[in-house]
Amino acid sequence: MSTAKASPLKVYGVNIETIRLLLKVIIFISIAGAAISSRLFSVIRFESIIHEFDPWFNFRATKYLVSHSFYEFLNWFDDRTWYPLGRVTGGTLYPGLMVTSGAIWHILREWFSLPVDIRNICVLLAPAFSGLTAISTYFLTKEMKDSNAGLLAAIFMGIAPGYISRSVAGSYDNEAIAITLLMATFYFWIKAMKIGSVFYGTLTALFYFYMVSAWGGYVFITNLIPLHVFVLLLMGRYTHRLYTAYSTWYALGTLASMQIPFVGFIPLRSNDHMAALGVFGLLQLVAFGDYVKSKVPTTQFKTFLAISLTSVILLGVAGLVGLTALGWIAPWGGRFYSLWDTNYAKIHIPIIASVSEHQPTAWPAFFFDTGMLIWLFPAGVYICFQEMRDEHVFIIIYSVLCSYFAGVMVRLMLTLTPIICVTGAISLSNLFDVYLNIVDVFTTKEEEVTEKSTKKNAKKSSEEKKILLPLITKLIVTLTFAFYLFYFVLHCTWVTNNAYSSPSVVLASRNPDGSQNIIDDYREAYYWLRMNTPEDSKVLAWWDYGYQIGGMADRTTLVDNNTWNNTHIATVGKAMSSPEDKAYEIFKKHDVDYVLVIFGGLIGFSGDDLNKFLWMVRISEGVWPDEIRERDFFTEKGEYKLDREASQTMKDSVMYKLSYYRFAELFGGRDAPDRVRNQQIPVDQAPELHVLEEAFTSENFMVRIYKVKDLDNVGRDLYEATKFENQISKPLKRSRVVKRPALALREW
Amino acid sequence: MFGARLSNWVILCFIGIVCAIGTVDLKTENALVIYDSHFQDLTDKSSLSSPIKTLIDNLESQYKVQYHSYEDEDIKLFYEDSPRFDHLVILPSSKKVIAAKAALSQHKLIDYVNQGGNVLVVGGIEAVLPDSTRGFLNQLGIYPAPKNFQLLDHFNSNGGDEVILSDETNLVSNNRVVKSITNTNYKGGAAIISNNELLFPIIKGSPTSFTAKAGIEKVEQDTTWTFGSQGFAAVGFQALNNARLVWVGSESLITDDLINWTFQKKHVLKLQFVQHYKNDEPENPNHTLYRIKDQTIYTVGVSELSEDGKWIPFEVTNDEDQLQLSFKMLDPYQRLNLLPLGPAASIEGGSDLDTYVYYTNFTLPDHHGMFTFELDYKRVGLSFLEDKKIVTVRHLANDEFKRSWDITNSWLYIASAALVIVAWFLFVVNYIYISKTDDEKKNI
Repeated sequence: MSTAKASPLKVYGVNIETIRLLLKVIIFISIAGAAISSRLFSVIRFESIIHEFDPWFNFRATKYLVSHSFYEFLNWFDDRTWYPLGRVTGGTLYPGLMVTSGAIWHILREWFSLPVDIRNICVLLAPAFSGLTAISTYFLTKEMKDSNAGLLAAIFMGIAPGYISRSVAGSYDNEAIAITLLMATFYFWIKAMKIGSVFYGTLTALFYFYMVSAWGGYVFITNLIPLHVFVLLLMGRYTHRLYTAYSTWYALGTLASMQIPFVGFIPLRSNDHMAALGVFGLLQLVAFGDYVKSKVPTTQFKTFLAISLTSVILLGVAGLVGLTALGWIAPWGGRFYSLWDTNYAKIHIPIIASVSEHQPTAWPAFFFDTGMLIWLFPAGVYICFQEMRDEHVFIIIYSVLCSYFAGVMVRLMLTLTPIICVTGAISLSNLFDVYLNIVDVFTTKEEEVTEKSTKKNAKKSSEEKKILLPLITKLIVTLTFAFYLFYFVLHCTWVTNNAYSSPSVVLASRNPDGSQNIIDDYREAYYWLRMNTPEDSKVLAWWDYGYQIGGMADRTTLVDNNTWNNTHIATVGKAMSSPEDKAYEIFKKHDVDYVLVIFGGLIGFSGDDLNKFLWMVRISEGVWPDEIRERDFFTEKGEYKLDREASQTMKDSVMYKLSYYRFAELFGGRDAPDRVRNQQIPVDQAPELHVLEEAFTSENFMVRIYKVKDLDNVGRDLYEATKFENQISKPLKRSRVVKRPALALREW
Repeated sequence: MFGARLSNWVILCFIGIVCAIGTVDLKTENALVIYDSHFQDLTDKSSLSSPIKTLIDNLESQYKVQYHSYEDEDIKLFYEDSPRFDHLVILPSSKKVIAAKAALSQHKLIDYVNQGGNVLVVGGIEAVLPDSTRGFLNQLGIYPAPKNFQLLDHFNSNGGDEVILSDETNLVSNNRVVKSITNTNYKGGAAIISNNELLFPIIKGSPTSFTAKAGIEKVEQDTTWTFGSQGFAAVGFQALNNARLVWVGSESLITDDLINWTFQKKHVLKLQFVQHYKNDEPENPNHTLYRIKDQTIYTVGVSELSEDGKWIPFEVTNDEDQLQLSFKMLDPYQRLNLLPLGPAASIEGGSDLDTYVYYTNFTLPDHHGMFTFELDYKRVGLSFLEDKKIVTVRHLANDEFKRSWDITNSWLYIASAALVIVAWFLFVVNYIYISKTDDEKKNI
């Protein structure tokens, strides 16, 4: 840098800074290219399709947005889900994602006259934003160290599997743009805090607003920034810059966030947001204290400080407790508690625990998702400790908090990945600063004057040796890390290719000869629903499939992945775990026309409904403990069995019957093997259906759809009616004597 | 005012509602009579008993009738899958096994009812029910006594084995099928019936009656078929699709009233129209989107088939038979009696006042969701009326709330916000222009 100051270096007559800029641009384009292209595996191998579950809702909402006005979208009351309750969709979603892709769609159409299908925009939004994430990460890391580290962080961020897992093409979820916004918000916050600028504070608030509009995880920012400020205050690092930045962000950001209908008054009433408010108050007090300190003598100030501190703490705690007790501030949400006590959800809120991404993380997942960065991460944090500037405190807090959270919940790996990339880049860049700098070795002579005296003396004595030895060391270290980096790229590509590029709507398996076998049962079944059932049919299925049924089959569902009403979900769980007659009451009350179950027993797909069945039982037991008991579904020994030893309750349950109805017929008189649970389903106890009839079963038996029968026209119950229907093939049993039936007294 | 507007409107605006059977060409319906020449030889009409003659006359005057003996093998109830006959009369048989077993199997008979066919089953003491017919009746919940069983009542008899029926003890009140028993001397079988809600007794046994094998008049748990008023001589049935069936224990109970009820000539109701709309948008009926707390009108037109085959207004006269509307989402939020408005024409501009209009006017609940306007009218002897209309009740949109300045409570907050802005402005002015001069002075 000293050289740059003295006289601008020139290469072939071009300013070196210009070359640097050119290189940077090329590097950025390459990074973005790498980030985007590695996310396109799924499109290339399957097709341009929306993945998984939640993206289907986002996609449907986006379609609604582009076909209606923004205000209609905002006031959207969705009568196709949660029948018959409906969902105030416009007021219960984070509109950022849909608005973003809607805006892109409009811009492309109206400004560039490119009539792009909205689906392709939705599919490719996540990869596009991953490029932007890489750039934001660059800026953030640059604030921490320098642009070298920034570039490293950018490429790490671009290809780290932990982030790719939520942002492959087709993964049209809130997280796809939220991570970009997270990084941008943090960058602007660091910038604002460093230079105490109202302008950057406002930008932070603006991106914070965008983040709030896009993802519920905004609470992370809401707590992390105040925590950063709080720690700085404790370290005695109060400055006017900090005051300006925080006050600007908090005031503007909170007001802005309240404009999102779903958020509303939560920032003022929920305990999750109280830290930000508290720190805001504290900062005012500290600022006042600072002012007083500058006006009064030290001794007086000490008493002032002691008295005011105790009174403020007492008042604050009492106020918080009091307001919570009065119900003015909502207590912490269930997801919040489950962050601290991993067993909390399992005991109290089965619906949260039933989601696989809310399970604790297994340790190999860290290596899987971040590769070599996981061991560079502590080194980076250590380096931050050594420098310990204000912004490094931020990195340290972020690292510590997120490491814990990521251990508790799988899905929070996503928020940990960016900081791993940043710290990994910092440590690696520190390493490279030393070992990649071969200029030092060759230029010692010319710059002798600027070198330190100790070095000078040592080098003078034996020049030849001293050049070779560091060179070899540097070469070895550099090559090692080059190999690590190379291997990291291989690892990332491999993980992306193998683990994160499946749409999960379409499954791929390998035939014995190695060729690919596409299992497309979901779409087959959803399309059947779409084409063969009346448009206003109501489909009952477990909530996992609600968004897909709404998106692909366009039929009304009872519950979906927006799990806002536990009772309604428990009702569906109850219908699945009850015997037919009880289930029929529920079907009729909710106007159910079709029941859909996923069954993987034939092809060995383990994510099927029978494996989720215990959650259905648990959730409905939570609401109707008298009618549904989890214990009844186990065998005497307490095993989860579906074969001959299965309990009677299990065999009577609608879920069991719907899964195994006519399943044994496939195996021609032998017991049918369930390949997921490795149990033999008895052929002689094949389930019989009375209130439902099979309507559709997909190619691999994965999706089975049943129609709910109407009430019997002549007033029999459906057991008798079905029994009667089944007699049709058998000859009439003739009896010589007509026997008087035992009837109950006729009631008048 | 409202009433006038509504009725005008009701008369004017029934676009698209087709009055399907304004005048019925009476001979378009087909009837099938299955008989056993051992009991009634329908080929020789002069030999018939008077009730059977009534039946045949009644049928022939109104329908194209086909006669088939139980010995015929080519009886076909269906052509492909649709029934060939609207009405079916099953007269007593002397044999358990019939020729057209497959065509008249119990499944076919149930199918026939499920497709809207009406059935009149006549029993008798000496007659046996063919297995299929018995099986069919048993499915509905009617269990007629076997051959040679007879309804007996030694307290109400004419000395012989005939029971004297009377309107007071034997006729089930409000059955709407038979007004009074014309032929009071009864010699026939009886049935017990299940608690099927679609069944209703027409003539019951007196408390002192029982049904036993003729000759062995012992009252026993096993052999005696019916006891007291749990035995029935005539039973009516109306399926959910309004197909009707009557079983009588003897041909003597057949009357014109009974035949007309069974074959949908009496007490047939029809919903001419069902409409719902917002009070202030009558031009936009049956719109499926409402807003919470909307004022809503629900109106129906109900017609009844008159004796001469025309639709006439159906007016509810007693309290128990009122039409009700349920406005429900899982549970009814409103359950209201429909108020009578008066006769009206069911087609736009029609002068023929053929329907009676009922309405109710109510406020939708303060709750959003998918609600059902449900009319469920099931009265003994009348056609069932059922109608479900699912509508969406949405929440208030963002611009439908009161504006902040309309709420008096908010004035305080608006004023304080304005005050803060003014104070801040003054502060800035003071800080920049006024106090700065002080600083400069101090610095000097």
